[in-house]
Amino acid sequence: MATAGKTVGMPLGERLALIAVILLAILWLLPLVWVTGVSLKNNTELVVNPGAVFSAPYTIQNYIDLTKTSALGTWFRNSLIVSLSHTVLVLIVSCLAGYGFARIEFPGRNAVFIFSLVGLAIPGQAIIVPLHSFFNAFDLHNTYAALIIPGIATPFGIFLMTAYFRAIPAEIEEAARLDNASRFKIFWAIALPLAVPAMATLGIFTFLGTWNDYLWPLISATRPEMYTLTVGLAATQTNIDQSEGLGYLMAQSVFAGLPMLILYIFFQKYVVRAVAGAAIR
Amino acid sequence: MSRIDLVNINKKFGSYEAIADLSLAIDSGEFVVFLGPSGCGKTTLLRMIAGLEAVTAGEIHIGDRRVEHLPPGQRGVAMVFQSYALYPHMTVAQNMAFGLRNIGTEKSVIEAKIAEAARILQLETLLDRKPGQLSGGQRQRVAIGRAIVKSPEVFLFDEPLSNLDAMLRARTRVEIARLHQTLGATMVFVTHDQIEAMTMAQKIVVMSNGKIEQVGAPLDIYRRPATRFVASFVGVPAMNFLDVSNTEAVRGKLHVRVGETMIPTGVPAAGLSGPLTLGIRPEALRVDANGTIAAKVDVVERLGDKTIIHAMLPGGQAVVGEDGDTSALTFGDQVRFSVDSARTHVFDAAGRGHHAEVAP
Ligand SMILES: Nc1ncnc2c1ncn2[C@@H]1O[C@H](COP(=O)(O)OP(=O)(O)OP(=O)(O)O)[C@@H](O)[C@H]1O
Ligand SMILES: [Mg+2]
Repeated sequence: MATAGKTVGMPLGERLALIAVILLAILWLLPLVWVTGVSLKNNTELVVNPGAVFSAPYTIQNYIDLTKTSALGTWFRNSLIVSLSHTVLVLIVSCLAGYGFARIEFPGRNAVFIFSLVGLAIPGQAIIVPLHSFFNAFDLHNTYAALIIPGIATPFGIFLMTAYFRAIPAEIEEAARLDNASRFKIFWAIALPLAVPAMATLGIFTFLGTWNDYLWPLISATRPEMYTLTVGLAATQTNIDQSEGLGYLMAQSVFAGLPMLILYIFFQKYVVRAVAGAAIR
Repeated sequence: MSRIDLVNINKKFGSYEAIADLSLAIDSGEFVVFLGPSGCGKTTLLRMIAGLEAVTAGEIHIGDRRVEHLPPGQRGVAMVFQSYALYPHMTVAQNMAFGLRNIGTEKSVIEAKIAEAARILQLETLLDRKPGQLSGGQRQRVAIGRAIVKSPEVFLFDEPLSNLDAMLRARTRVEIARLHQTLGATMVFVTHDQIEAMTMAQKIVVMSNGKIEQVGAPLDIYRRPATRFVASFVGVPAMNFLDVSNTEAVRGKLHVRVGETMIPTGVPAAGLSGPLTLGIRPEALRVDANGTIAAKVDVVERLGDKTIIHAMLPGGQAVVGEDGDTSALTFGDQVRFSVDSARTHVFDAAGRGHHAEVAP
């Protein structure tokens, strides 16, 4: 009813835009629907007729099989540990650095700030070889440390948090100084709570990026028990001949995508705001 | 409740001198207003007392402690900011509790103090709201409440009324004055609004360009402005300033020639020479058929209880005078003003004021 009410009297241009958006959304959703559909089909039936996705019978057999393969659970756990730890560390580093750049006067502050922003211009692939040798030198490949640590000091995170802390009115912090709050107390009890929207944005982007990251875990984790989901799934999918079939493969993908879906459902507000770029204001 | 002494305070921002060698004594329990035009250094001075801005040179004493090197929290001052600077993520009660928690005050004491402040400021029903859910006037009261709970020796206000509408401003003025009477604390109030200064202050400090122009009681400032700057800054409509071309002394009093007219003043003639300026407030320049000054009416402002007449002297100079509530004057009329010589001022070349009225 509410939706119907809203479209009544809507200008023609907006109506067309709305229709275009709906079409795009459907187009965007199609692969997801297809993947989900295939994951619910019997594998042998799919071999005979790959187009049978949109008709019964459906089965959850692929998902039952999924629980029987041990490796997937390990990879999922690895991805979760790596993504969560990495995100938490990125948030800690970005908030501390951002607050420092925004609020604490020290000699050479601007120079250091600009230097840390230069990193924005360097593509991740360009440093992958030195990064590899670095972790090699410490014999850290195939450990969580190697998967988690690279990139915890991210120029984007530092820039975002600096901009956000700068936008908090200085008078609020001055009031806190008059209220006998220490520097750290001001950071912890005043600045951080006010920066939650920016932290949510940064956290979501970082988590998504790490969860979907492929290149670095592929290079660093060479032993299957240290694979993350992306690397593990890719490894099984390249062996499609030996694998248990298309439906099973798709069930794996759906499983891998679940955290994204959950994240989105819970943080929808922040994700939308982050994508709209509103969190920076 | 403490006295404040500022001794030879100097403040530079880089090479720009915002405050030049300023000394001032504020008595314990006094309500002092810093008054001056925008950019004269009022906020800077207040922030130095608060400890939010370091002094470049000089001493600040609060009570018998020297405080210019102490952090803001240890000076025994509370400040109400122009923007209120409430903590947006905390409720009203949490806003008031924050400072007390930081010094380890007992929970029961905090609650009692918040209840007391809420009662004085009528915030009882708002304690669980966040600042975003309050009106401007309510936020303002929370900001004052946050200061009250700390029972500071000194309250500092930086233009706390400038974001309120005229009605609310008038009411809050009275509330703050009442608060001063109840608490008896020393209060320093910054404003560029002379009505606020005149109505609230026991002592006004008029500032300009980082310097003190005059310190005095409101009526003293109004009746005996020490400088031409003070005379022009205080009073609405502003004092008329007329160039004096010639003078003579009559029975010890100065008579001055302005254009073609000789105007008797009540200012003692002794020692006054050089280029002079005559100062007459609009209320001392009254429409009078037998008046000495002729002019042509320009704009008529009817205020209800009186009428403000803007007029032009033959020499082309604009003056502002007053008429009764039922003035019939309109644009273009010829008018005569008489001067109340007992309320005249003469300013010498250095801008110093000489007055017909003697000090009380
Ligand atoms: N942090 C700063 N850096 C440089 N100059 C400053 C700084 N703070 C204030 N000033 C300068 O010092 C002078 C006094 O400023 P201040 O804020 O004290 O004026 P004010 O009397 O409070 O004016 P207003 O009525 O507009 O608030 C101004 O010329 C201002 O530009
Ligand atoms: Mg100011």
